[in-house]
Amino acid sequence: MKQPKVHKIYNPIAECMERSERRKLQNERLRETVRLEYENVPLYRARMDAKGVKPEDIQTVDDLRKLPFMEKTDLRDEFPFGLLAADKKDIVRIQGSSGTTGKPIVSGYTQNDVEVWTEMVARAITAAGGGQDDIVQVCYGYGLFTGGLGAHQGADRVGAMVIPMSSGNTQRQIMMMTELGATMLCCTPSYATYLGETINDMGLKDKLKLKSGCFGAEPWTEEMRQKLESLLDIDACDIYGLTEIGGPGVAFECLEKHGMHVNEDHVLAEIIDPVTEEPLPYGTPGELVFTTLTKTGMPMLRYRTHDICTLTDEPCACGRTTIRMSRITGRTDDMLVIRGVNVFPSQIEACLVDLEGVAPFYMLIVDRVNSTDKLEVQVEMTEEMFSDKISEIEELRCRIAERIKSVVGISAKVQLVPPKSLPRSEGKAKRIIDNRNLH
Amino acid sequence: MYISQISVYLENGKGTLSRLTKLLSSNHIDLLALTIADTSGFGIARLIVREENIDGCLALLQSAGYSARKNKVLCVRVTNEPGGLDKVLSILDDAGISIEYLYSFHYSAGRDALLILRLNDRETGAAALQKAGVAVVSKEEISAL
Repeated sequence: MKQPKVHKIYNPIAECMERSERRKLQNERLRETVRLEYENVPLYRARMDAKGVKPEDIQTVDDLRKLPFMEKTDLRDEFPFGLLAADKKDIVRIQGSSGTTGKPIVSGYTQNDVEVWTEMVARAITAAGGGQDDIVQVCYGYGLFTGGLGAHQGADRVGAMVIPMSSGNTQRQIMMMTELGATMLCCTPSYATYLGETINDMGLKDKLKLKSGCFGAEPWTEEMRQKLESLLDIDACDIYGLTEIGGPGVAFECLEKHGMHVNEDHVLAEIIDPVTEEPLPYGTPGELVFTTLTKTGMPMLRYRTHDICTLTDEPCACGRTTIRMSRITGRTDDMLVIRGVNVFPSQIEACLVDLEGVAPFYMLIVDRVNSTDKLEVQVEMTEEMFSDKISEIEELRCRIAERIKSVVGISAKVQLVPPKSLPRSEGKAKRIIDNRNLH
Repeated sequence: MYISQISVYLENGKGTLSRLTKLLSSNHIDLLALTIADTSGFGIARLIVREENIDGCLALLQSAGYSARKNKVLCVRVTNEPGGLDKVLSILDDAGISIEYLYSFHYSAGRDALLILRLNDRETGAAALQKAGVAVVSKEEISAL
């Protein structure tokens, strides 16, 4: 049942700090991060040198625009440890996500980074009403993906009772949720909706003790929030993050549910024009760029997320003085988020090239059926791939699906289609049909 | 000794097969036999046409965007009476040959049925059948149908 709207704040000193005070802190932390990066990461030093920028040129946040950008491809090219600013012996955790091709990306966390990340999630859980009286069921996947461990650590930090369910097995999730009386839920919004629908179908809504949840790892809409909130009778708060910057908790919604508060003492957020790469003012939609301020394992300077949103510095009724980011309204590249997993068409292409030697024409079709994302990969069959035997074609289909599952980490339905049957577009090939209406 | 067959990949969908037959009909290609193997997602149509039409038919299908391929299959004549098929299968079984698929058709001019076979070992299977006196149908005979 929904709670009365009482704003709880985990770290009032950091979250409600005077903005001028926070700016001083950010300047100081930015200088230190730039120094750390320049001294320890050859790739970034070369990039700064190429631009003629020295660490001492960066004194305040206003100097940020002088710095070169970092990209997801940097993590792939420097995989696994090339971007570490710390000694390998000081890295205590590896987390990862999918890269743009077959190779994953990983990030190394020092003890400090795990602490910072934990604190950021603790703030998010507190903002959604969580505390030591709560029972938090985590049904994000545990593993390299930051969702499970991130939510777990944050819930643990606020002193809640944590049920580390990980993802999947809906019947068991519902059994634990009702029997143990979970009061908060952490998972993707689509899975929460699926849980909600199943619970309603089973007639178990009366048995729920849920009051709220932190839902993230995929884009969603206000309509989806309304639906989820009525299905489970909870407050559904958005949470945002990415492995490269530190995992979930980089930004989070409070019970005002009006934009996500950016943890500005730990990260700097900018919006840029993705084409000109020039910074844009608050309120203008553009590409979100992050600079970490306290990470020591693998700090990131001006990391391009390719997520499109807006920032606002309008005060929030909750009392936090941090800026807020809007929902993600799109991507500047062709990344898809399917059941919380980042998927790039280029990864699928890499799988096909690995299996067939050449890339046949292909298309990704994404749908949401019963609140669950379905990915269908349509592959145009080449003469070489076609066999007169059903068993060989079925085997090829299975091989492609298994490859996608192991490389991308997601189950896909593979459909072989006749040559030239997929629609061609002029110019850049259109590889995706997304029927989910997420934005 | 073998005859040519054309296999065509077909997506499951309304009208898919009639589009194929329309294409053949408008190009005056006479289908002697047709069988369709189906799965939940797709089907494979296997066609027998007269030998002189094989290459033209294949080119026609491919240029119309079909995945199509020519392959060699064995065609044998069996008497159209109880035990006719069983005899052929027993010979293959005794020779240790597996059948990947088979289909039969009956041509109205004669009393016999024709059997199209794809075997895991074509040569050995054909030799075993011939040795046992089963009539193997040639390309020329197919063309004369």
